[in-house]
Amino acid sequence: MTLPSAAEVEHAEWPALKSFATELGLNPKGRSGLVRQRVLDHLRIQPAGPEWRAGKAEQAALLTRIGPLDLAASLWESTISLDAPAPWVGLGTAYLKANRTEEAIKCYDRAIGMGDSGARLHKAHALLRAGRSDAALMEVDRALERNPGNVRAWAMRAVISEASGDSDEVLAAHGKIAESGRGSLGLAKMLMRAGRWEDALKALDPHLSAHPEDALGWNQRGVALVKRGEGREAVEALRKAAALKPRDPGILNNLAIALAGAGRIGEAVKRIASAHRISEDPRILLNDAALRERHGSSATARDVYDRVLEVAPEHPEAVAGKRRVARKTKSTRKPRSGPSSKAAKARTGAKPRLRARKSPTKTTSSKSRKR
Amino acid sequence: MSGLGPAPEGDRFLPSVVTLEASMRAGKQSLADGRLGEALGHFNAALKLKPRYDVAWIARGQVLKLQGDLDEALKSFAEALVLKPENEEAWIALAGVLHRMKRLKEEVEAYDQVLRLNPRNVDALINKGAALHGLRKYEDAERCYDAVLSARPEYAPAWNNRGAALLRRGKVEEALESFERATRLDPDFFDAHVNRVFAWQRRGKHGNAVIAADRALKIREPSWLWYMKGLSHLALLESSLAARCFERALELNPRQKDAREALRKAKELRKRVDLYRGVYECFGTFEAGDPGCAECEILERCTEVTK
Repeated sequence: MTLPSAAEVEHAEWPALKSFATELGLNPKGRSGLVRQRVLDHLRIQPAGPEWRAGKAEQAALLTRIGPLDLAASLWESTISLDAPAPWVGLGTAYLKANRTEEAIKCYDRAIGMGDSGARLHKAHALLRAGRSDAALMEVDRALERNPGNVRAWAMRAVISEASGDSDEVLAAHGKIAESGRGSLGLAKMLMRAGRWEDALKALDPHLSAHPEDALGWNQRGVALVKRGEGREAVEALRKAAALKPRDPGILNNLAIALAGAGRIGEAVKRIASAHRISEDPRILLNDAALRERHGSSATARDVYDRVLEVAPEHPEAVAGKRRVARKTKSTRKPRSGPSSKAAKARTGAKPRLRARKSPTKTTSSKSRKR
Repeated sequence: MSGLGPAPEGDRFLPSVVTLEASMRAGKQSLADGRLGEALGHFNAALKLKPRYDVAWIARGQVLKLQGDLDEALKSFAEALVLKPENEEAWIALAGVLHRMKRLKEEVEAYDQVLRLNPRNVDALINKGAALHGLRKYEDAERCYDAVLSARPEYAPAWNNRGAALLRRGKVEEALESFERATRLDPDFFDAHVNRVFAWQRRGKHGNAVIAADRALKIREPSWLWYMKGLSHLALLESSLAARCFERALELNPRQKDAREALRKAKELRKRVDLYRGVYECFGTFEAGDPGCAECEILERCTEVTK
């Protein structure tokens, strides 16, 4: 364990002092002054561990992340040796961050030539940035030839396919990741994006059985069920999500929509009000206004629409909603003959807000870019 | 005209000066290597070449002092001081010999000479304090230590000596504070730990005396300190621990009669009572409100023996 400093021991409270003594294998029993003295004596007698100092490679890696990049590049150059591909990957990443893409690709080629297949993914990323998505896809495919179970490569493939708008390939890549047992949440999200709610639910089932504490997984399931019109089950899933993350405005918003879909408007209004208190997202505000409108509190709905227009001026839904509420208020004041506006009200349904969650594909691909 | 101009390198002075420098250098080297006889020969040779050389007299005095010839050492330092009365080093060396000869009053006078030349000489001040302590002039000694501490508050020996003077004057609390400062500044200061044992025993706090003795015994283990620790265990009714201490004292010094007598007493006490402290080495030092005391399993017995 790391030794505490003498100052820490001097000022430690009794429980912390006892834990220091126990962790150091000293007798933690007795008067506090004596236990403190025991620990201090131990620190004094114990030789200090070897001091760690960042070497050139560590400094270069750090500078690659935080800059300055020219210094990082020169440090990487100083670490280059005949048999290690890692400095070439580091140098390539420093060049890539400095927008010197061609030089970065050459560096990755050197690393690939030295047998580092992982450098192919870095090269693919650089090619993608240079707008050469076909070449990037080829590099990823080569990496997958050597190692078909490479999740990072499949994630990269999904990102490249998504960038080129090939949704089938995206789904196929996510399907491979799910097959390898490394997470099916990304697949579920893509399926939901493609409107395949049934398949999305199937993909979510193994994820939720393995991670029953994943609030965002329950949220996705709830949204998929809402879309399929299974209101009761959706409410159940979203309640689970809200119990796990009670301060997440997205989950509360979705729960409100599901409750409204199940006809429980009063409860829905309460939930959306909670979401509104946490975040003034235009989507949440619009849903709040729509639910208030449905609930019959037109004045509050108008106030909320006003708030949306403050946050997002000239938002078409807010403008339309405000007009509608104004008309309704007028008609309430001067009843006139004609069809009831109930049907119109019913159509003004609140929309579920899909959680803007980082998909696993994006996460892994961004990792692959970094050294 | 060929004799004029600078002398070539290695032949800068007269031959006798070169020999004098070589003798002094050889003498110092021999002294550093512990070859006292050779060192004395070299310094004597140097003094033959230059009899009025105070540095050689001081060096000769140091060798003689190490050889145990205190009278001759004293003469050497006196010669140096005749040649250069403002030499602080010679005065301190002279005082050192006087201390060895137990001529404490003259030792104090020698330090006074140094302090007349340099009133902030820390060595002279602390040694003068120690000499005054030996003369039982504790208040004067304390003044010397205070003067040292005003110049160097981090000087642990001064805190220890101040504590010792205070203890002699019966100011036990203040003495304990001084010893505490000394041990904080130098956690391996054996004398300060031992003085704490005496001070705690004087206050009747035998639990604390045992702790201080334990710390001192980790540094050095003289038989008399084991005996002192044993006495504190006896006071805490820990007869087995007391007996073990006396046995250890007798192992180290089989001729220690008081330890033998105390061992007999400890064995007698064991027949009546023998408290066991277990893992609580602070036994006998109960302090109300201490979180460690609040959860102690032997609190009841600890409060019984803590006075």
